Amino acid sequence: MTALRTLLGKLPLVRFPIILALFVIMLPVSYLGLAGIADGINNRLYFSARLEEASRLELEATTFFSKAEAFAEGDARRTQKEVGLALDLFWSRVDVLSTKSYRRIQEDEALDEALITELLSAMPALEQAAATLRQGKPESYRDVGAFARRYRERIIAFSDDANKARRKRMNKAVETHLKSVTTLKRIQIAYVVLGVGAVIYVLTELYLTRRLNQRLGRSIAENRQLLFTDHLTGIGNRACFENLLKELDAVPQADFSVIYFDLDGFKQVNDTLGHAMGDTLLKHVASILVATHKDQAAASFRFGGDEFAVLLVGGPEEASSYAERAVNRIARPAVLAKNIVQVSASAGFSHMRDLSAGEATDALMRNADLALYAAKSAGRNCVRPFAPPMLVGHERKVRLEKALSEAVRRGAVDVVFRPILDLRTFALRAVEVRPAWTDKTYGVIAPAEIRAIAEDGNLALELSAGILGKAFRALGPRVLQRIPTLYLDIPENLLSQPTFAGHLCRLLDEFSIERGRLQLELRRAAKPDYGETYLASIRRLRDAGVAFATKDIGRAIDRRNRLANLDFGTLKLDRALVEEVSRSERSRGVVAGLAVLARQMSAAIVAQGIDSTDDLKRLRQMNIALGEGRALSPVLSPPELVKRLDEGFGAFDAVTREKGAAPGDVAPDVIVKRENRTVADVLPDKFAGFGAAL
Amino acid sequence: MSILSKIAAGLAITVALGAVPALADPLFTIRTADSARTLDVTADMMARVGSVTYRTILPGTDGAVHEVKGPLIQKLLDEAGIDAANYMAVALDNYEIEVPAEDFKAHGAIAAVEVDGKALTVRDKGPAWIVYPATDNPALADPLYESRSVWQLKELVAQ
Repeated sequence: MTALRTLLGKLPLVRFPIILALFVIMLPVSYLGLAGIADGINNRLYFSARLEEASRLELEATTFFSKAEAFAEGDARRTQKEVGLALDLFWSRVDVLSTKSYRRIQEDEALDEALITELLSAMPALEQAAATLRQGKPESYRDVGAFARRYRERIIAFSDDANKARRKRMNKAVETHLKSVTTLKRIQIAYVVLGVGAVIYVLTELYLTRRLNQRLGRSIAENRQLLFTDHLTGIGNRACFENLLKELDAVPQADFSVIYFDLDGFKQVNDTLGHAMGDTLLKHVASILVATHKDQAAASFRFGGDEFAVLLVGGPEEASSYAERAVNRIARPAVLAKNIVQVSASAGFSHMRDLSAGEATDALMRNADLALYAAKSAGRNCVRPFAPPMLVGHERKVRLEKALSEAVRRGAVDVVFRPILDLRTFALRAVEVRPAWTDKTYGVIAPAEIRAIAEDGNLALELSAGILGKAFRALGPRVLQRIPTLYLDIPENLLSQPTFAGHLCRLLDEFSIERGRLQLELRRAAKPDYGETYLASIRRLRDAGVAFATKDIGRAIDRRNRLANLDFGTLKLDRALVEEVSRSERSRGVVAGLAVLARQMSAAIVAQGIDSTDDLKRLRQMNIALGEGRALSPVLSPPELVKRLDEGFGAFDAVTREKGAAPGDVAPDVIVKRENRTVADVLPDKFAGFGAAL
Repeated sequence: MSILSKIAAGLAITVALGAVPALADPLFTIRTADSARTLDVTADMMARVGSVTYRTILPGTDGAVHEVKGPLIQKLLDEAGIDAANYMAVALDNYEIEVPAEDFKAHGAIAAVEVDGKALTVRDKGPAWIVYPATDNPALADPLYESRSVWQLKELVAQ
């Protein structure tokens, strides 16, 4: 059964060889058939001719005898010559019948073969008898007559038998003939059948090929459908969207917008309620997007994750109104699988008329993306239209990303140091290691922007490790000995990169940095991932004697730190807080409280961004131990740092005092440190959105 | 019976019948059906026309290869000024068969008068015998041509 199925399965492969083999077999078969027929005809001719010869023996014998008798009796019409010729013919016949091929036939047909032998040996005697014939002398016929009497009966019987045999052969020949006709017919039929078979084969092949092609076409169409559908939500996918956009490129004066949506808080839903819930939420959002444009010419797409897009026909007003409605609906609490879920969405859109001359429709994707970014920066749960200035920031970002990537790989990013001083003695207590980089086009790039670009371009690891290594190398072991602590600012999610901790530990080993000398300031990541790798990195770094710093109070007291066994060695005071210290009683209260908190946590406290002597004075009065800022020291290159270490930071302190407050006003036990306020503060305005995401 | 005794017997009868064939005696006749044109083929004429020699198997013998000699029949037909599509070959024993002109024109059939250097007599299928060069052309070794190999040829009649 399986063998049969296997055979049937292979049928398409063997069809053609079978037809060919049949033709090949048919050729010799028909040749042999035809050869047989031809042989039959030849045989019939052969036998028929010989039997006919045999049957004539009687005629020749009788002619001779009667001519001889008539001659002897004196018949004037008979001559001796004539009698002689008759004898010659008789003799010749006997001679022929005695040859091998004739004898074989006589044997086959059971003729009186012995007669021929006897006649042949009796011929000379007959000749002698004939020689005695005399015209008009009947008695001269005696000897010939005796011969005639002796053999006539047998000669007649011989000829008669030969005749009968010939007739029998003829009858048989008719049968053979009919058989030959049948054979010919069969050969003909076989060829016709083969021919028809071949034609049917060709037609079948054509039909099957066509059917196969149709099926293939159908399957391709189905797969295209699948290919362009988002499996989860059933709306279009990115490929479908890009395809459609490309097609619209060919439509002159097309009037439509591309709207991008991004869910806020989707990850939390996924993390806390599970992936199934996340999927349900995505379906819910897709249904809102579809339902919101049900009366309009539009199409919805999901790009994977929580990113959606809508292509809406109409002007920017329609796009704006649609996006507003959709964002409002998404923001409503929804009951999904018995859970009340509340998320929000940000949306950005760009209309065809935003495109500058020569730009293809796919530039709308970039525009919508920038607009979406703006919406997120504006606090999420809102809609922003694309505006051309966004492109400037975009272009800057794209170019800087490329340039920084090259600079990091070449090791062209320099290292500088922000000194952190004891606010009481103005002695150097620590430095913050910072990147310094000048772009050919955009000039000096602020450290925060360098960090932000590196983070986006996945360069944070190389950048951090690079400048740290550079710092170690530039300062050398002897200078390093004179700096109690080094701070390095890293994005929190660098700890989720499996190679980061190892890399850092190797660096510490290489330059023999003692335990406790390096503190990593963890900058809050956009999408932190507190997974196994994160915890492992914390453990490994802590074991290597690395401490951690943060200016995020919430982060410092987060219960997850206990899970990770993450203790902070330094609490940094944000410059926004520090700036308020001189002006607001409340801020002073907060700072004082934080100082107490830090003491409770056995953490050092560093005030960032002490730019004015007023602030410095206040902080010293408040007993803040450490600080940094323009009021204390500018950022220093490695040689400057070495020089300043030799000269002592007190000189700078003196200058500060000369300029600002009297020495007596400054409480020596107050510390300040300066850090960036927020990234946004140091970035150009156009880049505001970018910074806010950090 | 040996060939020698056969020859001796032949000699005996010719002597007895007093019929030694003269060179002018016709061996066979070529004519049109209405006898308007007639050519008696004699030994003289044959000598004039010229003979060819084949080595071939002869029908009605025991299958040995013989050397046969005689004029091309086509030459005799040319001599007679006869050109027909078919000829009726008639033997002394009145055996008749139609032979197409092609056999003479293309296949080189001869009127053999000598076999193995010996002139044919009536007793050994003479005096003239239509013979095909079957050894040179195997297609002629066929019962069809065998049946057209008329011995004791008496007449060749244009049809």
